[in-house]
Amino acid sequence: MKMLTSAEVMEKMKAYNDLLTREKSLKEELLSLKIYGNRDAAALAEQRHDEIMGEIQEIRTKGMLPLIRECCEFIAACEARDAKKVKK
Amino acid sequence: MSGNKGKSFKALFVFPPQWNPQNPFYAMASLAGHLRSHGYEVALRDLNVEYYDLVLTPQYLQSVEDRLKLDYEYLYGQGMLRNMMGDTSLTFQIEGKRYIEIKKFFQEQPGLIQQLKGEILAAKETLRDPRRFYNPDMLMPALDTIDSALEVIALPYFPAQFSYNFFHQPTTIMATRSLIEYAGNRSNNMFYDYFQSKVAELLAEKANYIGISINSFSQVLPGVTLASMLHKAAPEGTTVAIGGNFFSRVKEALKKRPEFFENFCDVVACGEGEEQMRLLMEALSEGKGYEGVPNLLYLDGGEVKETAAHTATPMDQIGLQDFAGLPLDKYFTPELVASVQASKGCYWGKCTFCDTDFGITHDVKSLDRLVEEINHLKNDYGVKHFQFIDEAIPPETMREMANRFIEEKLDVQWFTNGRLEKGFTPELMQLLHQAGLRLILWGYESGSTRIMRMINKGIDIRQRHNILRGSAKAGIWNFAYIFFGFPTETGEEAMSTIDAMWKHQDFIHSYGRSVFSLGKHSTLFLKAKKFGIIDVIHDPEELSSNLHYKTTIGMDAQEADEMMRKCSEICYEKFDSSLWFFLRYRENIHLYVSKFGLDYVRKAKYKSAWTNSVLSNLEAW
Repeated sequence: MKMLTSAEVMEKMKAYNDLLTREKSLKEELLSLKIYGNRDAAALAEQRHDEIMGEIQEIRTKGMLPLIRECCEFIAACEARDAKKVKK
Repeated sequence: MSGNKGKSFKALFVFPPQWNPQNPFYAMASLAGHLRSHGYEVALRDLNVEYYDLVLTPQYLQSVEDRLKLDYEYLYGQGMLRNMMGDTSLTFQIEGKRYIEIKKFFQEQPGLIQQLKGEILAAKETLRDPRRFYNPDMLMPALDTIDSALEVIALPYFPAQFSYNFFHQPTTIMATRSLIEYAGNRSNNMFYDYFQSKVAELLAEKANYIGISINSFSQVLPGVTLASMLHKAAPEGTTVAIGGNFFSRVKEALKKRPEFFENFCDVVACGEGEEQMRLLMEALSEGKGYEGVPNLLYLDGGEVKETAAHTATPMDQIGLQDFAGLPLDKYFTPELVASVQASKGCYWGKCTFCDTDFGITHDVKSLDRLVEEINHLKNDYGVKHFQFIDEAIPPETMREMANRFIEEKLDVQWFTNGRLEKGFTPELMQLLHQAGLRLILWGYESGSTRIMRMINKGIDIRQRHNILRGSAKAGIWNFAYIFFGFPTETGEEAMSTIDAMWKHQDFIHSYGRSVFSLGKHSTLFLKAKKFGIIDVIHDPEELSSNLHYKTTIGMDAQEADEMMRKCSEICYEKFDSSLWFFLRYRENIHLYVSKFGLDYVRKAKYKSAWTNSVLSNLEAW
């Protein structure tokens, strides 16, 4: 596992935050569909609903989870390195 | 009469939030009446009353609760993350405060939204049903429910404030770049989704011209949001315009902002609109440009151009108001109170603080025309109550009106603005009451003789209480406009205004208070130093018609605000839970006085558990 610099950690935090913002925005749009969804355009609203759910799923699986995995590996690597230092 | 010249041409006028949703807006009906009388097809959409009707529903309130829970969940997690990232941006600070407000709401009022969901439909219907409206024990809880609901509805957009009489988003300033940012910011803009859901509907009208009417500060942000969406989505050949009173006052600033037109509209229509709109319809329907139409701003080759000014058309030649197309059953009133105008511009026009008739050509409507208009609204729409929106009507004109109304047996009830001048004799007040006048909104302004001299009101201050006594004796409700913070006004002088209100309850029946603002077109601004005003700040709010300033002596803005709050607290106690506090709005007071008489409303008391709601609503007068 490559050790991350603080700048790289900040970058990953920012990337994660941007994904959170996008996910929140999509959920707001879902709420809006409930109120403003047009009966005449029900099919369109349903399609948009599915698109939003799909995008949220992608954000989580392809965006957030890899970042979380990377950060966890980084933390584990740091802990292992620190444990070695203590033994010495 | 000119008309479509053989080619169909349609105009759509849209009235956006935020405005009081009690009655139709005068200018919309006047524009429609004038253009229709010249053969043009006109559609009207009052998106303001439609918005209030939509958001005050159980479904919408549920969506607000869902949104608050979403915000609570995300803002917390993101807050931690951004803290670690060292985010000090304004956005982060605002969202942090929003999170705190939402958390406080869930902790202190966990069941409120579910309670409001159960009450809201009945509350709306109480405002529309005469049998319930005229019962204070039903009306007051209904108004309280609506006030609470509107507060909650704004919470996901904190620090935005939204009520019956007010909308403000403090984090957005009146500058073009801020308006552009706000119009496109869905998360921060409580009107964004609503307008987006309306665009297809509005464009389905297939209008050649879409005019968005923006008349006050509270309509600007929602209005430009709608304009932005329509401007982008409208098909080639459709003109999207912004009209109304607001942007006329900042015309000079707009001329330096081509990006305003790039983002929001093809045209800004300044000044008085009826005949201007007819000329614009004529030009567009004949395929001509804007050059021959007066008082327009438009973009040409990247530059903002202005067409020539012109003399306004006499009021007698303007078409009668036409409500057709407005959802009259949706307005939040048991009986429509229609706005009418007997005159334009203030016949005094010398008060140093005032610039409300900036850009207005003085004119008086003939009595024949006025009576024709009242009869038309009565016969076609069943209107029996009228609000005269004139700046003020002189006593002798009111006498002529009264005599004519009595002679014609109009049998209507009305209210108006008035100046406390000696022509309003006790005998005239009796005549006016007989003719249907029930309430006068007097420009009382201040209890201080020094301040009244600086205002240059042109009245004998010593006599004004006699006039009010005569009016009260005739059975007419006296409402006093007062304000705090006139440049150099001291705290003591402000207290004299407060004392004048509660000490004379027998003839000052209610009041509305505000804080002074320095208008760009007022005498005070033009002669600032003479009035002790220094450091007028031409701040980045280029599209605000008011200015920030400092004075040599006297209260500052914060102290004036504090005095306004003190006025509410003192008078609420001294008036001892008077019913009028809870009626809140002048239209409601007029309807109650018309129904029950002055004495009943003056003496009736009401005990409410929602004192804070009442006091905070008074700030919106």
